[in-house]
Amino acid sequence: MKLKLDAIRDISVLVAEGAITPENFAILRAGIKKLFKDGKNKIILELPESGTFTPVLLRELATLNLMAAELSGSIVLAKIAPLTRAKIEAFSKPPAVRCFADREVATEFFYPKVVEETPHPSTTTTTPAATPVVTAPPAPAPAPLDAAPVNEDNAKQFKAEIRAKEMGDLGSVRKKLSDLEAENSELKGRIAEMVVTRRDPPDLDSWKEKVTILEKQLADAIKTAQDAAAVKK
Amino acid sequence: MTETTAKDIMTRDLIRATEDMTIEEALKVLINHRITGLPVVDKKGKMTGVISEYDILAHISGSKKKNAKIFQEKITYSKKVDAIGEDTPLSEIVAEFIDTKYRRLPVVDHKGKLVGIITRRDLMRIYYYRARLED
Repeated sequence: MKLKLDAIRDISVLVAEGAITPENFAILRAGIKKLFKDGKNKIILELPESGTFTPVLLRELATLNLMAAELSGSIVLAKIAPLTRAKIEAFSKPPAVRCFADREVATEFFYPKVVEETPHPSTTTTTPAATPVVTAPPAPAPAPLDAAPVNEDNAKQFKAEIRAKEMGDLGSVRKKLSDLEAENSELKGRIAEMVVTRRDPPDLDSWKEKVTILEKQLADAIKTAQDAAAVKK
Repeated sequence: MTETTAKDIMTRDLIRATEDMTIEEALKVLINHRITGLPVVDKKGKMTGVISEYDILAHISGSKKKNAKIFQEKITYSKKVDAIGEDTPLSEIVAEFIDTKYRRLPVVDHKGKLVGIITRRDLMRIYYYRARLED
């Protein structure tokens, strides 16, 4: 697993390339602990190839998230697959870790966008040339919960998409199952017919031929048994 | 294990003021970002000083006119540049904070360009997590 570190203000963005296996998670854990030791507890984990999290790894991530929260920090996930995200969100209520579609949305969790304020009456005399050019990024919010409505909307949208996809998948699977059951039933009927055909000859000549074969087999078996007895004596 | 230095722990992508900012702009940055001071840089990004709430208050109270025009005046700030290098080890950074009693210290590269900032709170967080992870 390859780890890459970016920064957005005081948020650390840890990009992890590779599947989240227990071995790779150990690398990720070490990376997170290193960030903690450097005083960074606002962390976005960007996992583009995450695949799925096992419950054990998710619990461990939740523990690290709790540690971050001890000093008003948080660990959030970004760029994870919608199905993995749905599983994480269904794992516990509230989710063990917050999940976001991408880095920008995750950043808004820490620093929600500030709505442009209306100019103060005292500044109405400002000429265009003197218009403020503020180089600073948006102001930090009092609480990350301000981002909740936006995130909830995103979550609802993703859930609806996942539900629709699952319903579509379920429909096609049901149809396939129905076709296979019909084919199975037809094959069973044909096998039964073949068994009967093989067991019951259609006419008298065929019956006679079958009896002859059976008599021959019986004679052979008796002869074999007699030979075996003679050898013993 | 290599020693932790300023560049490991500083906050990059920091809030900064520019030399040509007006009082109004600087005041809004301070209040909206809930901070009490910020470094001032020139057009090349080189640190030239620090502006704090004190500087703004002193500017306003020292002016005879107390109308809207005062907020359009350029900022006056402390030109004293107390900063640390990005390779300063953690132990020295802590000592600097203790000696100077500063709340924040800007971090500059070898050319004097502002690259980050470290606050007292950052250091407290470092000590807390280091102790926590040793348990």
